[in-house]
Amino acid sequence: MANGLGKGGRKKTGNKLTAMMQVRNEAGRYLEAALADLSGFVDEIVIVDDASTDDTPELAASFEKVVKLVRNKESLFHKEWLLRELLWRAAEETSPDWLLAVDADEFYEDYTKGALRELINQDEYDTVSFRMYDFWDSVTHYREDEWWNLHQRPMMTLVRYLPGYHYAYPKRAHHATRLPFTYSALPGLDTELRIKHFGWAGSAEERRAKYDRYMKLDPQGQWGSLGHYASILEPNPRLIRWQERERHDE
Amino acid sequence: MAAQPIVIFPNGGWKGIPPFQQGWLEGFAQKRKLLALADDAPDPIEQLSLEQLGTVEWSNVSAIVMHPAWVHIVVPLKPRCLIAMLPAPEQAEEEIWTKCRSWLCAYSTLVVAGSEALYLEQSFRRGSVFLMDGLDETSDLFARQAVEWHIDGFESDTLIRLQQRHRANWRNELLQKQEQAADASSNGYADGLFYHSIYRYLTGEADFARRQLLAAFEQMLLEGRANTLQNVYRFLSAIELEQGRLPEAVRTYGYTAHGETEWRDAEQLTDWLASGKRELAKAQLYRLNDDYRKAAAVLEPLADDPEAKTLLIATYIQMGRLQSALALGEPGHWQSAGDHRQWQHLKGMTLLLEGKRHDAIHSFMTAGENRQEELNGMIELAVMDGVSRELTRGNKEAH
Repeated sequence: MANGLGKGGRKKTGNKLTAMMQVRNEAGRYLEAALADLSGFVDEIVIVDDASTDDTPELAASFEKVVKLVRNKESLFHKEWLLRELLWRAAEETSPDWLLAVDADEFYEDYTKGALRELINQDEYDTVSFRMYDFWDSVTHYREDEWWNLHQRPMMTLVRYLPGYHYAYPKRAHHATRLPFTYSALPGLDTELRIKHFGWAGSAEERRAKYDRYMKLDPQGQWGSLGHYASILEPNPRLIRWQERERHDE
Repeated sequence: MAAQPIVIFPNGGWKGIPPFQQGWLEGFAQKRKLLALADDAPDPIEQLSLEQLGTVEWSNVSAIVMHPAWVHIVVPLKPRCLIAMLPAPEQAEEEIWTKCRSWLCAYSTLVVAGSEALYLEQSFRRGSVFLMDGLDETSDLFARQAVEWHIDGFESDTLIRLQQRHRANWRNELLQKQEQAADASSNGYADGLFYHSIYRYLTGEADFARRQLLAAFEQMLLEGRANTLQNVYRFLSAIELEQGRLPEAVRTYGYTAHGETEWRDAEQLTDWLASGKRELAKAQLYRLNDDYRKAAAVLEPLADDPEAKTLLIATYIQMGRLQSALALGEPGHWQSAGDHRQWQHLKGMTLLLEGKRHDAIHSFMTAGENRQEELNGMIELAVMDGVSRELTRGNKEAH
């Protein structure tokens, strides 16, 4: 294209990669490591702090690549779609090219990080899906069974920002989609590239506390499956050792 | 004014006419002379044969045509009013009938569509279009009134808006009922939103059309429908044109483009916009959204410009307006032998619709250049002749 843009006006070189994340009381957990890790491979980071009562916002602000930090005075935890929308609007205001929707306990495998620039500097597709592995009881093993198999299907976390496109979130109080569902209409790429989720990698007590919280929030299984919740307490889950793949672009 | 005679060109004899139209047409016979090319026409309707067509004083007669195969017979007669009253196209119909329908509608003075899809298609191609599908009494009443006014020589355009508004409000009420019944995920709710958006576009309510379109898009995605970007979301670019937002419209089209042809179209639009050829970009975007009527309106004042002229010729061909296309001359860039043959074929059809049958046959022969597989015009003419003869018979189904 004469103006340097690709198919349908899509920018295919020099794209900026912006991570977006919503956080709440994450200071004592993985947030510092996650932001340090992200700072190594994204260009900018946008964060919405959902009324944390610990040092989460200060910690977030200490990272140079955090270009925008929105602080909620009151939590939107029970209206998760509003929280997702707020984060989306905050990210939009930074004129992003590509957005990576990340949680504070997720880490991209080195091999995946090495592939990201190639994934965003093209004009063929607007979304990229990865495989999310739930680490269990440690950062060395992931869980794989009837209830814990998210990594067996693609999960969209990386999207091209298309100015003026129609973005909408379903109005879900909990477990809202992390990206606007209207992305599903756009051309996408499913990859086997991997993300490590450490949300369940802590102690049995931490998992028990999470289970109790889910049951309090969603006792009828309206937003999630009760069977899935119950499986959190499984005493002997099937665990598989993680084999890290090194990045290949260095 | 004395009541003018009407000649009906039916769709398989008198019994081929849908019951909800039959009674109404028979009522005409009480007020004026009514003739039909049907061997089973009931009294007091007079039967007319194909051979008798030359004896009719067509400048004082209105024709109601109910099948596309009549096009090459009726159009050359130049009746005072030519009303195309066509049923919904059959599924997977032969291409020849799609083309004949397009030509017949373009040459008619009034179009009455038998299905909503045909009604909307024709509303995007011309004015004086009505819907009469037997499903909504009020809506049908507008169409019947329009036909009667038209035949009596009165302007029926005010009824177009009334019917469009009625259809839009009917769609809106249907949607509200579904919402109240918490039935939003079934019974065509998403399609209803899309149709409602199109009606609001037709009635000039662009903001309303936009809201309905985006709601339709969301609902279809939640239902897991495929190809919503091209089939539904793309129409946003037409709405954005109506809102005076050309750059956004070009951008929206680009997001929905898929495949080499559409990517080239998107690139062309961007180039035209960048070089200040805004009207070309606008017209092409209307075309890409099937709104040929608005595209032609933008292009007609620019016909001296070669790019605009080429686009206008293509637009007229899409609209079925062969004579208008031919009057602009052969496009300069149609230089290949295939393009030239296509032009000759177009010329042949135009001559045929002017009643110059022998000249048309000569033009088809030239287009074919003695290649059997390209003698399409000749073959089409033979098919049209055969089927139109069948359509007069009430005791036999037409193909």
